Amino acid sequence: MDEKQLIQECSNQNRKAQKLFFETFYKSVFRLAKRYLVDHHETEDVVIIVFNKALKNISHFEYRGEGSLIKWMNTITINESIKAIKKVRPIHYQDEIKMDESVVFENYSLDIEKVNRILERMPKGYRTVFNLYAIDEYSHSEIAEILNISRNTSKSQLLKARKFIIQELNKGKEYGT
Amino acid sequence: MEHNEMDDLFRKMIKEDISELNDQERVSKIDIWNELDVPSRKRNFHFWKIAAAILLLLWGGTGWFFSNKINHKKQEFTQLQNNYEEVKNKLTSLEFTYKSEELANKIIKENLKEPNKTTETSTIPVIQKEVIEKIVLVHDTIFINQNISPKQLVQVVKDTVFIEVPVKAPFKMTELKNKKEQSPKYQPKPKTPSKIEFVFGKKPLKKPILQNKLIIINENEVAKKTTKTNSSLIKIPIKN
Repeated sequence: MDEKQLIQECSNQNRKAQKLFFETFYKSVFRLAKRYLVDHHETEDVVIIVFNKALKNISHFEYRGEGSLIKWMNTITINESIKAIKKVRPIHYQDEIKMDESVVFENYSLDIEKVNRILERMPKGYRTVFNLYAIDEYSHSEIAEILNISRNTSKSQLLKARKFIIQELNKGKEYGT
Repeated sequence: MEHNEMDDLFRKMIKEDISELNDQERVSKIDIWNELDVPSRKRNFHFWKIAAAILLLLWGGTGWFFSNKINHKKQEFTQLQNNYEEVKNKLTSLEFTYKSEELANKIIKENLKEPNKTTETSTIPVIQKEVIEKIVLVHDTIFINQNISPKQLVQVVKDTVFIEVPVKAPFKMTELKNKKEQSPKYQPKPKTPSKIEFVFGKKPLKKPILQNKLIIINENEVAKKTTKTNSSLIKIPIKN
């Protein structure tokens, strides 16, 4: 069953298709939400909301070729994750930093577990902006709009996030982890 | 390394993460699926499918039942056939035995008949009962009775020889109206004449002279006669 058929069947409220849809997108949705939320239970709640929304509104989804469905699912997940972040603990963004500040990223040995661990330790504000900008490729304008912050705040949060990562990587280098 | 490179590296690592679900994620997956409140189409009640299934079941069940029954009947029939054959054989053998026995019996009978014939001829009885009675009968005036002295003879019934006492049987075998008639020896007492005439100087009355008469009586005849009046019953010679 290709994506188009899957969408069609899910629109017809076919239980089997819905199950297949869930099986297909569960991993990506769960990990994406976890990357923003960190907390496991919060992630679970968000994933439930995401799938409920997606399956309820899938009949309104316009299929625009391969990849459009996963993009749509990611958008819903990010939006719901940010909603959850805002709802539970409002983000307090720290002072803006100067734009010319740059971070030197040396060669570090990285694996996905290390990346995830660093992101989990990262402050929520930094993490949200870093996820949106660096990983999910949102622009500062979009981030500003989504998070209700200024573009500069978004940029400064990103810079701080990068610094935090380097600090964490350096710490690991010092302790040999 | 420029910062964009760091972003790219992170993005790449995250996007290309193909690691399997860990245990926590797997457990969550089941929970989340169960928690989903997804509108799902009501299962169509495929009546025809259910009906077809029921029909198939019924058909299968009936077929199975009847095949069993037929097999059972076949077995019974075979058993009956065997029994029939057995009985038939027994009957044939019995028939044969019967015939042989009958033949043997016939031979024995034939053997037995020859000596019997001689005895039968010699012993064939004269079934006659002679009763000789002497009764003095003077019309209805005077009866002089004499004892009946019947003589008995030999009576042979079939192939058995009976030697009987002088006849009593004829009287016993009849149905008599009164007790008086029951006894064969019974003779009616002479009636007292209503009047006695004495005629002097005249010739005596001519009395009928009855000669001795031998009466041969069959049982039946005796019975018949006994039912009638005594006077007309038996005619007995009277000696003057």
